[in-house]
Amino acid sequence: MAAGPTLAEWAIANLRIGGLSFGGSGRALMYQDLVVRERAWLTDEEFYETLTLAQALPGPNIVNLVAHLGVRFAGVPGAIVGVLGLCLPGSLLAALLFTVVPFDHPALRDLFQGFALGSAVLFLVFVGRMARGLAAATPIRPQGLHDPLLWRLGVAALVALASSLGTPLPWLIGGGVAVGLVVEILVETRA
Amino acid sequence: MTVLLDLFWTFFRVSVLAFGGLFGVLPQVERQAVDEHAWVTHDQFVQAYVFSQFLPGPNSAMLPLIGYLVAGWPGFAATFIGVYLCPALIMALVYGVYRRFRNIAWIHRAELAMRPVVLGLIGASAARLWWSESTSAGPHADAARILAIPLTAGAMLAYSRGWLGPFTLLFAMGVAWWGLVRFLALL
Repeated sequence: MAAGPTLAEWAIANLRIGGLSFGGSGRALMYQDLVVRERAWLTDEEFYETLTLAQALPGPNIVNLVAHLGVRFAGVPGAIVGVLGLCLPGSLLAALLFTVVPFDHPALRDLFQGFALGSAVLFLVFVGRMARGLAAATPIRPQGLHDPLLWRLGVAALVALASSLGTPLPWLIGGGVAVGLVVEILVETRA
Repeated sequence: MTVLLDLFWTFFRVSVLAFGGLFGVLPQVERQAVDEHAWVTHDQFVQAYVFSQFLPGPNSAMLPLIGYLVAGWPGFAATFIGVYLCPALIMALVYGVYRRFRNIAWIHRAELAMRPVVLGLIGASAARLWWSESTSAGPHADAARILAIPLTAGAMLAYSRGWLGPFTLLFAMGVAWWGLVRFLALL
């Protein structure tokens, strides 16, 4: 594993993302870019493992991710510093600005909607990367219906469909993991 | 003092039980904050939600905001601790346990099984977010949505090729969408 950041470096990194990232889960991509691509504090594989656990556990995903990365880099102080850096700027701005900003002004509304659309773009890029990460984690690929990647992507499609149909999240996760486990066991017995 | 404890406990529970972020538990939050405790009105609740979408950091910034509206800065602090710090500490502990046991085959298998599930969840949320944010409030909303497709594809390409960083991309999209809506209003 590559050398992790100091507590101060980690705090500043979180403050940067917490103070400048808008809307949606494009932030997971920002963390990946920062932690893996820019600074090489973790490998892609280690990052996906951490992200998956953060998504699997209850609680705000991005806060889980930061708590996990923080504890990995600098123990419990790392988790606290990371969450403060990520969450405090937006929360403070919310409390300070809420009563002042003219939300109904059309120009402001469209500009902010564009910011949110930008975060949807980051989100979509991230989905593409995750799909490729899944392919990379499936090195042995027999032809046709024996291909494990096909089955794993099938589980993803099933969950996405069920999610669009409004299935409650605990069911999505419980059902999805149950189907996923069956797939993994089948993959193992075939290999 | 009781209101501070109420804020802490109510929002701590909401935060810890939220699989997949605030979006999934919004109806429960509203029931607690508006109907049960009458901390904010329905209109304030919706405004706080929309506002927090526009702020940096997690979308759940609306929760400390509600704490602030109810009980000033002490309310803000009580909510912040309940929503972020306590769950983060619990997650830090869980992660420590996970790291110790991660070599057990079943945990590894469960993690592999979880990966497509997360991909599906994120894919569906990405599509939902794109759809809601490409819904223009101006005239010719259909044209705006259609034009948002090449805009999105171009931005994805620009980001993947490294032409734009994440922050420049967000601001470029903000200005581009603002311009697009303005332009369609002229037609």
